[in-house]
Amino acid sequence: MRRSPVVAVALVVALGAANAAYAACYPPNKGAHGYYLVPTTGVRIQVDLFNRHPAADSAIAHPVQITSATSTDFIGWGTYRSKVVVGSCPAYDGTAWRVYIDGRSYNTYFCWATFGTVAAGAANQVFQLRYENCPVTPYSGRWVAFLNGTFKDCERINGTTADGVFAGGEWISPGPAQDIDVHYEQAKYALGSNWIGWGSLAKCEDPPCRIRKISNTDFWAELP
Amino acid sequence: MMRSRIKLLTALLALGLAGAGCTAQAGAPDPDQAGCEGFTLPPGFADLVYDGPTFGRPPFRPIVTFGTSLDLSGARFVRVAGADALLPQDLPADVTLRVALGGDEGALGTGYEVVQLFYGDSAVDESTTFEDLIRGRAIRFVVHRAEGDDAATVKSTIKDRAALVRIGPHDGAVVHSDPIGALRVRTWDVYWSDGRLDYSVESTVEPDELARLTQSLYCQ
Repeated sequence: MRRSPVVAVALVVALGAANAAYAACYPPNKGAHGYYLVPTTGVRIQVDLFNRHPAADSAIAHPVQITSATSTDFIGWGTYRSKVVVGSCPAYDGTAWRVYIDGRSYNTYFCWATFGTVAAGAANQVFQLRYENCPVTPYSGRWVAFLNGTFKDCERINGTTADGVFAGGEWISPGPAQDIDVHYEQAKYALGSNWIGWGSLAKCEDPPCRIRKISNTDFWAELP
Repeated sequence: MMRSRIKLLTALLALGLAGAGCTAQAGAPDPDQAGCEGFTLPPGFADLVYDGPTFGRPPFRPIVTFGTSLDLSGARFVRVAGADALLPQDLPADVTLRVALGGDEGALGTGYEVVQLFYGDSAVDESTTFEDLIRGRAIRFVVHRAEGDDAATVKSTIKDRAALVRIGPHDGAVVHSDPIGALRVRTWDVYWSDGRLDYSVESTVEPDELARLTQSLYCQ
């Protein structure tokens, strides 16, 4: 086994250019999200929730996400409203936001669970995912979800490391375009035992969505 | 010819004579044992699917960003997390190795903790994603240090969406994936562990081809 130096150099170049290479956004749904491609074992973001368009149709969600670096699996952790059942998560068309966790585990999709609601327009909701020992036995080495510092869930996917951290807003069509304006604050990813800010490094996935950088750890994802 | 070489190498491993870079695998196989006869899947298993509404996921990244390129041409083993991982020997005729990548999961600086091999029937460039690759016949082969992604764990996690099989001396779990990406492609996947390393395969080849591929690691 040996490295190919030419290809390695090309990879470094590709890594630097990859942030601008995407042309799609949450297919087949639509939305806007900030992301930062970095090997990591966790993401923690403080979210200010936005109010949906009054004529919103099927569903709106704003997840914090990680994607496995070694498979097609992913985890989404956030809030939603939906007029349709999504996986095993029920329809919820109330005035608040329902907290949910979903993803692909060994290449099968699950909306695993819901955890009550947070108020419409709630500010400073802290969502955290991290690969660590689950505090609930007999689990170990799972992706552990916290909301505002309180343990909520453990889920297993094929992968112990994420290849990037993501946070945004999305909707499942049909329905009118949403004025997505999601405020993410204190956006951090895990490196070993440390949490490192990535807000100022956030990219936006698909023009005309854009990122408004607020500080080294804060960004807003906007889709006019 | 290839299978004869594998049989010889397997015997050397079992005797502990393989030398540097060829340390013994946990559960070194006897080529005559069960687990080399293909997969038997339950009736109707291929039709199990969730194809309803889902919340979205971020787009797929170019696969070359998953690690550092490795030259594994003709290799039978690759070093992963202090152990030698066996590589597939019986590939479908129209599928070849396109890119091999090594990475240190979590950027922990502990050497290659994971190796990913992408096989396909078409060329891979710096923008090719896994979603692109599985438009055709493709295989993603992943080995990483054991983290509990064994067949029993897969089965207990996703229940009837996994079918238990044998991969040589090891238990394996076969999954027919839910649709992936805009083209709604479904892959055939296999997961198993030898106790030191966890293996997984995602592919668009047929289950009988997948059985030959995975069992070729252990069977003559």
